[in-house]
Amino acid sequence: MFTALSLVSLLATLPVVWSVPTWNTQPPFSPGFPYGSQPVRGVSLGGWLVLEVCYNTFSHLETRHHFLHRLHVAVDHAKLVRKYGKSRYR
Amino acid sequence: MFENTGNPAIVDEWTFGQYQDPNVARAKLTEHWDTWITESDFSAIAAAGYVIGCTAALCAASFEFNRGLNKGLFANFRLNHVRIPIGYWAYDVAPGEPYISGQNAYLLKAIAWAAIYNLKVIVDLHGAPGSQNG
Repeated sequence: MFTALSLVSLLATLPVVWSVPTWNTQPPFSPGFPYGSQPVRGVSLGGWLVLEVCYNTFSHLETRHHFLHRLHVAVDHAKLVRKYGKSRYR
Repeated sequence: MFENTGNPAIVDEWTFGQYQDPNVARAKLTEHWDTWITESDFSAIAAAGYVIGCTAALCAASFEFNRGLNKGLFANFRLNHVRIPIGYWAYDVAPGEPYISGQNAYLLKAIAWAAIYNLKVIVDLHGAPGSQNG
């Protein structure tokens, strides 16, 4: 009887202990951009802080790389070869 | 970056640090970080959106009737974000890994530039420990 009672009281106290809402004490995250209502449009700055293998072929085209310019010049490898010739880009 | 080393064994960021004198590799990387993306690129990204925004404003002026429609339509084409991939090796290099750190300073620079031109930054953890080599 005693053990049964103490079990009941233990079970009664445990949920109280568990339900302390520590995760609610953080202030809500406010991103500063209306995500969900305004479209996210942007540019990925690839090949800068992580070197990308695919940028290899393009890298000696100019010493000063303007990736926005490059977007027009060389969208893909085929276009690059068409524009600058096969001998330079194999 | 890899082909210019003249070493065919250098094919990615891992081997870039592995098969070169670390000082040479660091110098080349620093030059790349300093020149590949600069503040002018952030201004160009913001301007690309701005030009379209101005076009929208002109359309709105000539077609008063469609003003609301044009504004709403063209607002969608403005660039508002940049994504910046970065590898874990910018923050932690395990013993025996040939990676070269120093990227975080440029990420902080980029965030400051983005703030100037009203762009948001999505930091992309592009390489996790034990995964790809850059």
